[in-house]
Amino acid sequence: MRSVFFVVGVMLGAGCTGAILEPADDRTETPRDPHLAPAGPVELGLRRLTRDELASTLRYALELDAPADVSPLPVDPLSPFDNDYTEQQPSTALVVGIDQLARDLTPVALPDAARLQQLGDCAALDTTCVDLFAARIGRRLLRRPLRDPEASALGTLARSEESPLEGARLVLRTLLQDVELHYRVEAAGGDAGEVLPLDDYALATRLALLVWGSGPDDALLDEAAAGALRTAAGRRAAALRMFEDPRAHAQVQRFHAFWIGYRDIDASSSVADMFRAETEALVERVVFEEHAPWLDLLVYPETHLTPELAAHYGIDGVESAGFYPAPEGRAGILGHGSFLANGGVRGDSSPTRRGLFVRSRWLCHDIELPDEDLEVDVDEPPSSNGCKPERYSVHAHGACAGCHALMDPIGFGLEAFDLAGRHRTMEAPGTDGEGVPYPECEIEAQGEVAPLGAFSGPEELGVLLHASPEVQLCAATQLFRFATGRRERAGDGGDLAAMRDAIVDGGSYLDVLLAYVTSERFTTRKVE
Amino acid sequence: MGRGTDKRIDRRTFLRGAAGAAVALPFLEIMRGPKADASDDGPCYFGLFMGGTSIPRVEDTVPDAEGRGYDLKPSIDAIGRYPGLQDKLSVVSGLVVPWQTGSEPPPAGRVRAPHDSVVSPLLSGMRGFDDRAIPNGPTADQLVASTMASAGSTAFRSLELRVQVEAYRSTSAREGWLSWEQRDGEIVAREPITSPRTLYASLFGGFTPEDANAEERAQALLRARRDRSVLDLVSERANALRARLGTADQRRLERHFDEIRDLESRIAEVPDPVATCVVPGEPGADPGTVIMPGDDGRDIGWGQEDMRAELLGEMMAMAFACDRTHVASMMITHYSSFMSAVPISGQLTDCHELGHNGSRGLDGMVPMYNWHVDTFARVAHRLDQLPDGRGGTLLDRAALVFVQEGGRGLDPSTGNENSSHSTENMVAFVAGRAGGMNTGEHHRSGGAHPASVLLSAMRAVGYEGVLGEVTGSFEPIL
Repeated sequence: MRSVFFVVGVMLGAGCTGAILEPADDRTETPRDPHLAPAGPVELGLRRLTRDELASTLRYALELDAPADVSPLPVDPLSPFDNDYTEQQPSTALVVGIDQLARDLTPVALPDAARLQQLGDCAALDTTCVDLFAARIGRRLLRRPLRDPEASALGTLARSEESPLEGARLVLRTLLQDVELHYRVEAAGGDAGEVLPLDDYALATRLALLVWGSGPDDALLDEAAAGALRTAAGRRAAALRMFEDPRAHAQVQRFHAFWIGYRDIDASSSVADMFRAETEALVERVVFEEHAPWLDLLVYPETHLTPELAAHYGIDGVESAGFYPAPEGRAGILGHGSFLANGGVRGDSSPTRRGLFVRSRWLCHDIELPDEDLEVDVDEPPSSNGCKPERYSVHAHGACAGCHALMDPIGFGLEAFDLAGRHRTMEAPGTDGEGVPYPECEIEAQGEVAPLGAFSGPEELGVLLHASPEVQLCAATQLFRFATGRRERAGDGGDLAAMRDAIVDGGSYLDVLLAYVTSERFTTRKVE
Repeated sequence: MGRGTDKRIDRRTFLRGAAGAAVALPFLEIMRGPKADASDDGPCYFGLFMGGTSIPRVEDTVPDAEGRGYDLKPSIDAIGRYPGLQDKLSVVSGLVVPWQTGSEPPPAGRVRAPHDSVVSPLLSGMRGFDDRAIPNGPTADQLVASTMASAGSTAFRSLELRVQVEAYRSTSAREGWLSWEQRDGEIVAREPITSPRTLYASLFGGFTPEDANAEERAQALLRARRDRSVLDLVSERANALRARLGTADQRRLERHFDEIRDLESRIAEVPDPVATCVVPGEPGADPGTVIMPGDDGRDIGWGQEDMRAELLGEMMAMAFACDRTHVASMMITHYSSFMSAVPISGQLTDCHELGHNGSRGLDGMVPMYNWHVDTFARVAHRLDQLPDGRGGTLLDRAALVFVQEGGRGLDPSTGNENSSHSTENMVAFVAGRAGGMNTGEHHRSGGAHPASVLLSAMRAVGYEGVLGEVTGSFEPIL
């Protein structure tokens, strides 16, 4: 096992703080920081299901045709993932929203008696049918079988109504507001620091939320009931089955979209849709069709084009939708419009913001303002009228220099592509603060990722990142953050190393996922 | 996204009509006797409004005249749409939130970065050390809510609302949070309700129309019984889970459990008869969100916030009138708002960019700022239409304050003058006469802190403390 350590502040300039993770250079098992043991149980707090997870869970549990309408609930804070429980706050808005959701969804899910019989899997419309409905749907929604007192209380509630249908509706409304539906309650009990084993059903939920972004189905709950998920082999078999399900495809896209930044693309919706489709096609091909090494996303030689997207990019010869050799200089996911649309300011690319985006998403560097009052949203670029490198050259001095040396050179290497993903040779026109037009300047597009090396354009940047151990660890880290619902902490090194090693060994996304779910640490929870 | 609504005209007509002549319009009224246990003084109401905007040009905004009968510049002429309101609404100009010039921010000051850096000093009176939109103390509304809660309970200790329904291009949820309370030693957000439909159900779901027929009453009773049954069991189950959780998990979910208990209490409650209560009609489905192209090739979002402002404003006023709460906050737009400016200003951009688009953008800011003022003024006017049973109106028992993210002047982070990224020349609006507030005038404050204006309104409704590091109120108001 190669070790993983936290190295705080390494390579970051003066005043520029952050935490990065990198593999130990010496491959030793001895931590540099005694508090950062490389392996240990995963410390986790209670996490609320996100709106996406809830919508999908309700869809499948209630056998709806589409994800449930969860619009009454507040939006999830993004970090960039939507499931960071350290950002989640219970609120009046949340609880009254849940109440509203339950009122809205109940008649949709149970419009008539026939539907009750279908969901309850019962032939006769009677109180027994309501009990069967409660047991079957309750198991799906709470992700575990109902306990006897729970079933009894729900039965009593249902029998307060004259008709079985109205009784079942009250049962459903109650379940839709249940705290255990909305929160992932794992190994309840215990005090801070205590390590608790997950029970079978909590394992199923942890697996389902990771692989599907949705609650477990009946088959997975059955496997849990049989104790099949207690072994690594059982979890592996379950994950492989689940990976074939459409829910896994949606979840893989969801993760990548948050991570790589194509969920909310800053472009017109028609262009954004084209960009998103291009990237989703590549993710689908690399992850599901070819099971290719995961980080081949960065260097994949083909891309999915439509005539409309090709015309947008200014590429000839695309008459029908399909995969084509990537245009010159833009092989890999960084050549996609979905990536290049990130990091804009005032309608043009910001080398600083693009650099920051690459640092945070692909290298897991947190770059914070060294001096909290530094301006980052200025009316005009920070220097006098001149070509863009000159205007940004003010960053090379004083307190700004340390951090900007990590960001700006990356962005300048991408300057030959504008925010619309189109190739360009000249800088965008504009005016300075006095209204004087900028000079016409050719773009050099020479960049550098310190300390990985120099590059020009997204394809060369992709090659640099693809070969970087730091990027390999960062990809593992991003998946870990998404899986746990929080940022990495001391003690998480074991999981990160296992996933990183799978990447280093040329593993596919599925291989990395399996490395995580088959680890022993996946079966326990350390209470925060 | 992309959904629209086909009820826009009808609902707007309804609301506009309602605001003008409450008695004749189709409200479900429950005019009953005065609240039996009301003290002679009766309740006071506190409202905090926030706009994620700065002011347009000073000359388009700040009245030339001081004192009563001040002139209404184009950016604030919405005040004049409501008869008699100006006599109870003051404008305080020339306010300043100080910024850092030395090693740390001054008391009740901010760092030099724009936008979110103002949140802490403006709303909590505490200096801010960053621009993360997190105050370093409880916000004004929550301090008042604590005082009022100790004097007697209402269904909602406080009500948090937001008009701008989505963050749109921003990814920061915090930029949509106005209200923060102190809880277990931490400052935590009180996330706002954005859905008019959900708000209506929460506020008025338990009310029965006075003119309901026998069958309608029976149905209402049945609904109430079912609601209680469901919430009793939800609450019982939550309590059972709570007992199984460890300390850390309990702490994380405590607020959720509290909210379930509050919801259960509200549903179990039979609302007290309140003479001033006029329950508005159900708002129907929430206005949809649409996407429209901006002039820089990017899409900008619009959730029909103009209609949302009217719906939420009406319900906020009626939440006071029906004794559902005595404290409410309304975030009109997010800090650094990316809400579309198209429907209000006619410019193909968002609110934030208006402040960066030179003279043309400033022209567009005038109707946008005026819309914010209108949202505030409409609520004040609605309260002024409702008699308090003691010879005055509910506005006479209220203290409402509207503040914004910025003013106009020096941007200390760039040295630019006449910038939207400035906390010079900020303007606050104060409406109501609670506690004998002296309103109806324009005051040039000469650099007073906007939190001092807030503190005046807070003290007008009985709050006796300070607002963070701001210890003195703005005396001309109180």
